[in-house]
Amino acid sequence: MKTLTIQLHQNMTSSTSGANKNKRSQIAQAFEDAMLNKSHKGPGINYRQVWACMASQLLVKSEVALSWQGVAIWVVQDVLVDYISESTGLNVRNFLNDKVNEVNMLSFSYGESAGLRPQGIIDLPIVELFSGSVAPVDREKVEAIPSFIDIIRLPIQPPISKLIRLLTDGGPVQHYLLVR
Amino acid sequence: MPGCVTSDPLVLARQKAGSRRYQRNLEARLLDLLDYPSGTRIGIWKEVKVNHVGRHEGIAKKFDYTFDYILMPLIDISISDVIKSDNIIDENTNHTITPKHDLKYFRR
Repeated sequence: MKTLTIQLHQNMTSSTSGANKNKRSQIAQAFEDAMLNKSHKGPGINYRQVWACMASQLLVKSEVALSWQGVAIWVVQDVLVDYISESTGLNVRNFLNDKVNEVNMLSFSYGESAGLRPQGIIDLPIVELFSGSVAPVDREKVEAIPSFIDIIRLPIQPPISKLIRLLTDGGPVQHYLLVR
Repeated sequence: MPGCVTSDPLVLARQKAGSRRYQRNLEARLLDLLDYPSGTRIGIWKEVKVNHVGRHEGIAKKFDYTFDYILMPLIDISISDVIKSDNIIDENTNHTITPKHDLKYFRR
């Protein structure tokens, strides 16, 4: 009996951050300058929006691929991996692996070559696979066992003293007397 | 214990909370959920931006979120009591306040 193998590949595009017509950092302007071999500067990536669009899809599509006896592979740039590791509870680089698992991120990087201003097409020399479980198998130990569901969890706990300091610095904008 | 509210349609901070014709039921229910006793004076802060950075397992971590509203009980206390006290416990929240650091907390 022939086994049907399904592979889902998800490419994430993003909105941009920091495009400015006067600084010629809109994508079209940057592209035009690059084609004319001038100094050029494109906008940045809106990382938070990419993550927000990606987080639920990462888990849902990975699970549905599993249910189809397939595998989902997310192709992402290394800078997004770093952003996710910094701003969520998921430390992606702890999942470096050489085999696919339930959730899979294939990370690519320009490495050093991007900074050397090479001519022509830039190779992507560094490719790493990060893979692991959707959720901890042992639900009693959710806190202790890292899994990809950590992508929607708290990155670091701000102490309440920080909140108190923020509130006391400004004072409330409204008072409300609670009467039951 | 602060209450964090993240729901854009609420306009708690724009005018007197609980007085709006069309939203008062929703606001009343929201305030009920916080379970403060009757008579509690609640302060409402809007758009509180919390930034916190640190390291976890050797990895740089960043918390960067803005809460639409923060609700927290306010207490009345005399300045002389503030000066005399090292720490004050808010009876409603059991939160400890250190006057020399948190004096602005009492500003009205």
